[in-house]
Amino acid sequence: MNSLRCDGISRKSLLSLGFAGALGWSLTDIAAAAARPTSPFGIKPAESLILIWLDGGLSHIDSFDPKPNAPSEIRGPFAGINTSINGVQLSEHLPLLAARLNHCTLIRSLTHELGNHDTGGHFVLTGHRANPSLNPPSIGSLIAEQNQGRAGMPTYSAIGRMQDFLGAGYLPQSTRPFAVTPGSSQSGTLLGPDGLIEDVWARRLSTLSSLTKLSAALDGGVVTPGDGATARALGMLTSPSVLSAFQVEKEPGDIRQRYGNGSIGRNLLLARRLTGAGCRVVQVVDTGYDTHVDIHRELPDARFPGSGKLPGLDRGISALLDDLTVSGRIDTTVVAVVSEFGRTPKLNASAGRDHWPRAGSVLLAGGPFARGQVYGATDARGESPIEAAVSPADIAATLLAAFGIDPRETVRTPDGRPVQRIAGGTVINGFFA
Amino acid sequence: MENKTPLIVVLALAATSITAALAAATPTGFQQRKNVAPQPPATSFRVNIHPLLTRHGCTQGACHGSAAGRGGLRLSLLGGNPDADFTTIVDSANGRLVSGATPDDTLILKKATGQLSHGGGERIAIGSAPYKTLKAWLANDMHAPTDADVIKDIYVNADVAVLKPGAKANIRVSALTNSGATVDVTQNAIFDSLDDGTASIAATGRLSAIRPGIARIMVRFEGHTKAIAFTVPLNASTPPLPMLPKVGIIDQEVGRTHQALRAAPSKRTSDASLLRRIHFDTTGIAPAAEQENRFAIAYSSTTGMQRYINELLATPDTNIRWTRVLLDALRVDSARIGPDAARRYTSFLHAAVTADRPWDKTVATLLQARTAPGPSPQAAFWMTYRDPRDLAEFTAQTLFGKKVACARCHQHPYDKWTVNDNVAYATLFAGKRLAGNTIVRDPLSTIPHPETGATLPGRLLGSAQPSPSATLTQDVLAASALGNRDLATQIVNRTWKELFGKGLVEPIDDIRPGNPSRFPRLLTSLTDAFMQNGMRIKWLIATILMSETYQQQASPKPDAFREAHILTHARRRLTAEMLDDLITHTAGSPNPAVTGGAMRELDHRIPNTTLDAFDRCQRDGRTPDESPDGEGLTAAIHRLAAPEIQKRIAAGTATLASTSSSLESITWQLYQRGLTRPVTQAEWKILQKMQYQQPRRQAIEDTLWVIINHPEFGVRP
Repeated sequence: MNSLRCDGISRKSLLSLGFAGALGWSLTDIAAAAARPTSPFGIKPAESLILIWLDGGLSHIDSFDPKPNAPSEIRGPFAGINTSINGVQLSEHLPLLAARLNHCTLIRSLTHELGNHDTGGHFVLTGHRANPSLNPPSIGSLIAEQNQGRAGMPTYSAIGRMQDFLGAGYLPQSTRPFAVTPGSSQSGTLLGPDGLIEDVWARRLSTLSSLTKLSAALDGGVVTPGDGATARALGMLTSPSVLSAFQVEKEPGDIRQRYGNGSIGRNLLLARRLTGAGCRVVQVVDTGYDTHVDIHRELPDARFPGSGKLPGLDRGISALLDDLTVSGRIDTTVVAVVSEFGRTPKLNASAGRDHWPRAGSVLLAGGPFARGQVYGATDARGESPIEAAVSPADIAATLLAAFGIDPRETVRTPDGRPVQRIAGGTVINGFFA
Repeated sequence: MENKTPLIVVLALAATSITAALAAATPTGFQQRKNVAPQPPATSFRVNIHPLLTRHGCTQGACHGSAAGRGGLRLSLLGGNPDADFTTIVDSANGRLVSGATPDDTLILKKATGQLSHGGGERIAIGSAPYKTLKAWLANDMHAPTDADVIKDIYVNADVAVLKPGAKANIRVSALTNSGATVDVTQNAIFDSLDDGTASIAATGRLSAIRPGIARIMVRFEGHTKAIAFTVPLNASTPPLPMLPKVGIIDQEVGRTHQALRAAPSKRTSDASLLRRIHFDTTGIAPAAEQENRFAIAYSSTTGMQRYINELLATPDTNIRWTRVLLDALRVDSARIGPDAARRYTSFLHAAVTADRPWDKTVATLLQARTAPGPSPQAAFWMTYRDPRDLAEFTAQTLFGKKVACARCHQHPYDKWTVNDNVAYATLFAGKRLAGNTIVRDPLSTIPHPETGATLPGRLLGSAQPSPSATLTQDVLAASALGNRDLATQIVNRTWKELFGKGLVEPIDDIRPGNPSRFPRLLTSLTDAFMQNGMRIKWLIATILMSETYQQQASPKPDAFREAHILTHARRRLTAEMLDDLITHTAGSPNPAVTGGAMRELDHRIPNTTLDAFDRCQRDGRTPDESPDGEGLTAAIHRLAAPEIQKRIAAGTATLASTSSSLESITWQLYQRGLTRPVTQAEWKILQKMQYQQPRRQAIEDTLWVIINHPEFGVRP
């Protein structure tokens, strides 16, 4: 028994020690699935969101919106390839996604005017332009507020670098994302270097529980047992299914191979496991898209064919879509790929591209979104939308609508100010199937 | 203008229907407004009509106050602009709103009463008092707003100030106009209870006491906001308790409130809790082992306590901790202003704290432009925000407690700042520009008004006069800080929050008549004393720490009444840096990223997983939730199970295990380090059970883990 690892831990033995009960944690609380809201938008609301944030600003021309017929200084170094949608091309470095585009809604007409990483990112991730007198919540927090994680899972997790605007904004702090440390220490964060050794944990937890009760009687007491993050944290740490969800290592080698060895593949696999176990929103941040210099060496890594940003993304998202499709979860899980802005159509002197908020692309798949459509288009030079332009607020509003949440509903901030969840955004029914 | 004027008619004379009136758009036979002999208006637009519209919701953001208006009518948001609203109502669409055979037939009354289809439904009942007022105004030539009836101020009175639960009081509101007239405007004032649970307020101004406490009612009328407070004592029939023995400014004012409420103050906290509180509040780190005895001796006399506190305030740790308070408040971010500028700015603030420099002089230095080239702390301040409007709004709010950011777009309904105020103040900041590391004067730079595009002369907030001259712009801001009472009030309130967990006004940087303190006299008196003592922050800290009020225990359990009204401490989580240093102090094993101590690392951008997990302040204007319940899941899991922490526990265990101390003595030592108190008998029994028959090393490691995850560990009592 002494060396039993976490996966062999017996929940019953911990419960019988009375610890979880003393901290106000009970099986019924965490197992209760929240009732689904009925959708006012004539669609079946989705249950979970995997939001993939390509930090830095994805070059639309080099990925989702190639311009193979444009002059070379616009076309850039990459060719276009045909996709599973007739007449639609993607960059040659997204071959797996090209084959799966008939499962996605590709939006090529995102446009706004905020060309800084912070202001643009703020707009895309919250649906609000930065405004000194309002601290809006992220899309993830807005969804987390209306949903509960299931089976003891955190409602909202964020994998990768924490951004300022990933937060709860004016919503309660409980809608903040749970930060999952990127890279190999993810499971370590939850398990400790040696995993959870049952008798050590049982001994420590029962002692802590007794001391917590005594503390409440001292000099006015400190905290009421049963409240707070420690109880919820222990609920997670003592649940084999929760712990297991965080362990990407549990996936068979061939599956991990399909997702790719890079951080994006690993993090998308983790996102799949977390949403499958009951997380409502998982935000995956992938950095490195701020390609001001040498696009041809940055997006695919020229030194190692098949590696680099785009190939990693291609492999990871494709594997994720395949898995969700096979398990049937694709109908209740939304996958969204977003970025601050597109990049300048014309290559700069360093063979890179700079910030270009006038045009950008967004990929949506799963849930109520249409399978196999391209929405909107940019002009021949990829400079501006020529039809069906959408703003970040529209994208945010439509994502909320996909979860049955009314983006135009007026809510009150803690200081009493009435605000619409997403002001100025329109639900684009054309995105839906 | 010319072809509009004839349409403004005396409606009582027009014997046609609305449609006919519109069709007969001719002055023939109509008496023109400009021909009416001037008479004192029975109903004034500013005093009677405009507030009536606001009071009945017409100017709300969801109705005609919205940026696009509603149903073709757009009024100023929440009635911020009476003159524009007059023009809109009387002139827009050829006066269609106010035309009719009789006032009863006008669109404005037909719509407001819901007789004609109206998105807002029936706002005013036919024949009601507001209906009659509107009708009288329509009938009496629709007097335009004049300078004489501009409302200078409002007065709020009540028939009683102390009520039993269930009792009622009437609030009366009167308005003073430019002409010197005082008019009762209760009917059209807007009332909000800031303490819903203590008292409710009807739209008529009738207050109902609900339960004991201090009830603050905010009253609004035509851009003026005032508050009035009522006391609902715990038990009005018991005699007031005697005042506290110590009567410093703080205890005196707090005692007065307690007397009025017939409420007993909290008990004094235990010596151990007070020791922990004082050390974390001043230095941000736990007391060293030998401090316990020194404190016990000092605490027995006032002079001993004074000496103890003064010594603490002179330590380098105190200087670091309070520099950090300023760095967080001023949003000093090395990623935004660059590491060099951040270092210079940090040293400047550290020197100011160490020397206990008068706060107004420190701020004046920051606001002072310097034309000489070369790096300066001021340059770093001016880099906080590049857009002068952002910098102006940040300065007004963070340093002076004035929230003018809302007025960038519209006047906030509860505050007095107008868009003009915002633009004129921001213009002062536009007069300076950063060139390299130096601020240079740039008198040509201006801020366009968001609606009119016009530029305004620079003007300080609350000042009626533009700053003397554009060329002197650079000195106006700095001079305004010296001896500034708003600046003093704001830092007093911020310091109070640092020491009590809650400001006397919350949010701490939104100080205005409509957001009054429950202890207004305390804030005033303490600010007076602070100013008389040269605006020295360390003097303020010492004064607060010496008060009986500071030394009382935090509420035993969640108790809304005591938390709100008795001015007890709120228990606070340790900040990320304090918590990390306490783990170091307890386990004896530092965080490898900040081996000199997390508190001492003043750059919050140093990459570190533990400090991130513990939710360190991001210096972006948001403060992490410091209530015990504010701990995030990430922080809790990190403390319970992260390898970073487990490694430090293991390293600390190895050191302790190699000593010859007994397990009992080690346990006691760890309690003192981590929780600042001895182990109780009951606790010792539980810990012994855990340690029983475990190898020494395992027993120590378990004990250390339990202490680091103990509910008292992460808390300032």
